[in-house]
Amino acid sequence: MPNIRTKDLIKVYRTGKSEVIALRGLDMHVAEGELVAVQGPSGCGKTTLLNLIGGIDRPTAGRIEVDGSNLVDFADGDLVKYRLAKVGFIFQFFNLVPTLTAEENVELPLRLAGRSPSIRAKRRKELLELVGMTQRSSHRPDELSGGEQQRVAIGVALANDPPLLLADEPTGELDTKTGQEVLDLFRRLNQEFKKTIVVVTHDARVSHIAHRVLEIQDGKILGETAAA
Amino acid sequence: MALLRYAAADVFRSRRRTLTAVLGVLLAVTFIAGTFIAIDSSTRATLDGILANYPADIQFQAGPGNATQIREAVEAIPGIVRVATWRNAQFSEMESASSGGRTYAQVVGIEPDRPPSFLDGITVTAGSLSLPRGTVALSEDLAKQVNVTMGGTAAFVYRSYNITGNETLTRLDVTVGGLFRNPYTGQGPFYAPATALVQIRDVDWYEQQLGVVSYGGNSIGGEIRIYRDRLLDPYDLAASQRNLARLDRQIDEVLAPFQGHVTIDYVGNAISNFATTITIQRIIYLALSTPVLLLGVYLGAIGVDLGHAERRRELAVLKTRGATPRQLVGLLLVEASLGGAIAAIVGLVAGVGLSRLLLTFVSPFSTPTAPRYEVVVLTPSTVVIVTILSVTFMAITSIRSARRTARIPIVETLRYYAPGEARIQYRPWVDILLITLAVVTYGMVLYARTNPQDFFTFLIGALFFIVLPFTPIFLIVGTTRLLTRATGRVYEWTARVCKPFAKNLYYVISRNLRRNPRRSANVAVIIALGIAFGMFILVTFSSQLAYQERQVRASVGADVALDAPPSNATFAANLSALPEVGGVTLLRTVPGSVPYCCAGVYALDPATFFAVTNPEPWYFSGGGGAEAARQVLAIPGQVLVTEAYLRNAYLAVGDRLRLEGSVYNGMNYTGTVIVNTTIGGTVRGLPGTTYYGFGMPQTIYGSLDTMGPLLDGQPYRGYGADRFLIALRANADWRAAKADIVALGASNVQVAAEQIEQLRSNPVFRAFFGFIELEMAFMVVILTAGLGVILYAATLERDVELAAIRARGASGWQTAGLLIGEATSIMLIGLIVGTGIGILAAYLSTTFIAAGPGTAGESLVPVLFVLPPEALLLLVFAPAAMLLTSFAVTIRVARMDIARVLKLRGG
Repeated sequence: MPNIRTKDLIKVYRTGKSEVIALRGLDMHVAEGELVAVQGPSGCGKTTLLNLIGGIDRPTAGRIEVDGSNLVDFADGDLVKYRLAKVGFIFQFFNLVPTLTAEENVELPLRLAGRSPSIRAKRRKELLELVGMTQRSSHRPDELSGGEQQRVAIGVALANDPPLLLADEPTGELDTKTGQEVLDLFRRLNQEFKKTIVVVTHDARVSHIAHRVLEIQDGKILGETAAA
Repeated sequence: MALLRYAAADVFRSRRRTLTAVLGVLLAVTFIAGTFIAIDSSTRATLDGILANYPADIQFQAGPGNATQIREAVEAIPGIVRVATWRNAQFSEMESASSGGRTYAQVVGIEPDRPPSFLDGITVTAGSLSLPRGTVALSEDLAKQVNVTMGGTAAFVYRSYNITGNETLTRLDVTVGGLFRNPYTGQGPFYAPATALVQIRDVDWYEQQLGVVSYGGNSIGGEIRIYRDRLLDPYDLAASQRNLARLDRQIDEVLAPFQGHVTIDYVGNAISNFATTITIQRIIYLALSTPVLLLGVYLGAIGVDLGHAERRRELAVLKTRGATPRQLVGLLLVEASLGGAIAAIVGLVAGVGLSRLLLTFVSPFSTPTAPRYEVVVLTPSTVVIVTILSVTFMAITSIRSARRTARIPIVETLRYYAPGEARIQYRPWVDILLITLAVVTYGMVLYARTNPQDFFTFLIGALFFIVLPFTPIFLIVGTTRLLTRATGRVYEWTARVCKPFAKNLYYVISRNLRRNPRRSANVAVIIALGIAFGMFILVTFSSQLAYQERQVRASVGADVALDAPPSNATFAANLSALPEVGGVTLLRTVPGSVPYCCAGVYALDPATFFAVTNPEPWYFSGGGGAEAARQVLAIPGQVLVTEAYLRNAYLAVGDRLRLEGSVYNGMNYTGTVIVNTTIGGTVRGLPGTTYYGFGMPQTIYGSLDTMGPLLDGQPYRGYGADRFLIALRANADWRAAKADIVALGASNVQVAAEQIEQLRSNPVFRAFFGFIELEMAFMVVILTAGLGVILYAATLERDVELAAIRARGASGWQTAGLLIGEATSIMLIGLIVGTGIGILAAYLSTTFIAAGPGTAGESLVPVLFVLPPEALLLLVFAPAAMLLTSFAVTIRVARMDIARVLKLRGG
């Protein structure tokens, strides 16, 4: 189970002659098995933080320790393996492969990991049941509602059984009821499956399921609130 | 017009999208611009080539008189380089003490230091052409007939008749002061093989000595060579025509006192037809460029479609703000036209570079010296044509996509993934119509060939022969589109080839191809069309070339064919003794009449004929081949007949044939000889025995023994001239062999290798073949660029999808592998369909078109299907280039910034 710690994390984006400092020496810690919500105004660095923890971007300076290993020291190949085995990403816009059905999308990370057909079939079935999509497994994304797509996306994120789930505005595109269903699923994943979850969100309801809520402003942790 | 500014801004600001949209048309118009600029830049060389075919620039005629005075008067006119004059004598027979009779001779007076063009290329083999009075130069042919050698004495003979019809012969002895060999036989307006040359000023004197009854004498002919560079400007034809008209008038004025005038103004005629020639040249090369144009336009249509698909959200936003579909179509068409204008400008600039490669291939005329090309000539007509073509092509490629894009519902276009964009918008009826038309045309041609007298053939048969040349295009376009666009299943099937290296990710490739067939179809159809046109052109061309070469071999009959000199008993032995000669066989034309009109009759030696000629199997349609034919001929009294003769004369094998010939004693007819023969077998024809064009030969073949009675007793051997066929030894030099054979006195020497070399170096052939080769190379460029652009646009369109896959643990190369796998599968479809259809179209064309129309189309020499090495190179290079391109395009995906693509930055 991952224990995440960032130290003096700095991220600067350079676009032409302009510079945007997204993170300004951010320190944070997420213990294993925790469900942490990250909140803050637009442009404060929430998603940047998620990208860095997820290994899809690299910091300008600082450390990101996951189970004692510093992601900054990882080679590109190591980051690929890290994303494949340790992290499950859940996006606001689902980002499913449009030409694949729900079950084929779920199966994709398993194939990337080179799992055998029998394992893939078993795991696919389990995950579709878990996210409640068994009945819609042969539908393609454009044939699914937003909530259904997000549930499939959670199935995809869980495919290789990663200990860490990173969710970027997972309820941003969903209606209230569907959003609540997704949050309930997160709580279940955290409590029942012991997944460490970091959720970047504006959704106030997340604070009800999170152990802690981190407040970011101007690229720094401004403070944290314990769960209600 | 309100949207013009918006359209212009989009075209110039979205440069990558503009490039994608115009690339196909840009490449097509670049090729056209390059070709037209090359034609413009080689206009002078083309004119030189046309003028090189004329004996002179201007010809004139003047009454009998002082030729030198006439020449000097004409040469004094500014703009004239040189004048040559000649005059035919009014006597035309020669003899010598040892000739045994008079022989025809064309006696021509010339100025030796200014020989007319019909003497171009003669070789003085003995003496000189100085020709003092009483001295004559003879062609070797004439010297042989008169039986004189250098320094010998021959005589001019003049035959006159009095009023009662009595003949009087007068003779004038002349010394042979020179011998010359003519470079060709019987060519030129005044030049015969038996020619005697004298000084032009002495012609009157010779005629007086011979007592020629003169009515003023023969007129003087003259040739004028003008300062072409000073008087002719191929880029200002009106000025050239003006200069020439003035010159003609001046010449006529000068010649008037000599009762002379200009007879033919070759240069004037060439100049007045030159504009038409250049226009025809442009039309021919435009037609030859059809594959490139079609491919470019098709790629253009796909590029435009990709651009429109990429903008569907932006266009939907315009619609939400009140734009009508009509306005959107207008906007997209204006953008396309602007893109067309840009493509025209860029195409003209790029065409300048391409024209350097095309220069030597755009003129079917060869010049005796190095062709004079201009640096770069860009005529207004080229600019206008290229611009019109470019804008028109862009408008054509855009209209359908623009209408479709404008009609897509707003809600769907605003989505991230629009399922409508993945479906193939394909209605197969047009392609089915094209294929049906092709099949009906081929069927109708077949029907017309087997039923030429049929009323139905008479009624509409001609229509199909008009359509026939376009049929391969119908077949290629229709079938290619149908096979690549009708279903997405084919892509799923070919995706299996990726399985070994894509492993677990194979299913992603397979599903992508099946469920988004439009993208696949767009690429596959381009590849298939390119490969199909390439294969079709290369195979058809090579098959035609091989057909013509085979005709040459059939016509010559062996490596070398020649006529033996008359009355040379040792010739055959001398011929066999030549070091280059591996085998010799004698072939004689048999005089006489044939029952059941009409057939040529040949006598040959079966023992050597088949060994020397080594006939290919298609000469024999029945079993047994050459050996069976040899055995038939080896039996005295048996003959072989061609199938055409057998069929047309309603004969059968085993029937008797009665051949009848005349017998002479010297020149006197003494009776008739009859040879009764039996038809022992049939052949389609035999090598070296007739001219092989369209139509089957009607011929009877017998052994020399069988035909002996018909060959003996002829008045002279001219009709049944001994023709020898020769097989050269392996690695023997045909040039040396020909020289040795000519030295033995042989005439009409035909060398198969030489004729094939001439065929290949023919300027028309060279220009055509060179152009086709460059066109093929350019098609590979279009295919590669097309695949590159479409893949690039496709990866841009799928950036988010690919980035999400990577975020979920795929490595960069795994993701790139997906794309390469997809590209390979699509390419495979394109290659299979293109190669198959191209070869099928080529096969049908070589079978239906090359054989010619009607029953006369049956040819002894078959058009055999040839798959040239160039076609195999196309099949290797095109996929290699496309694979490299797809690899290069996918590097971007392998290195993509996932966070940026997923738009997660800075939130």
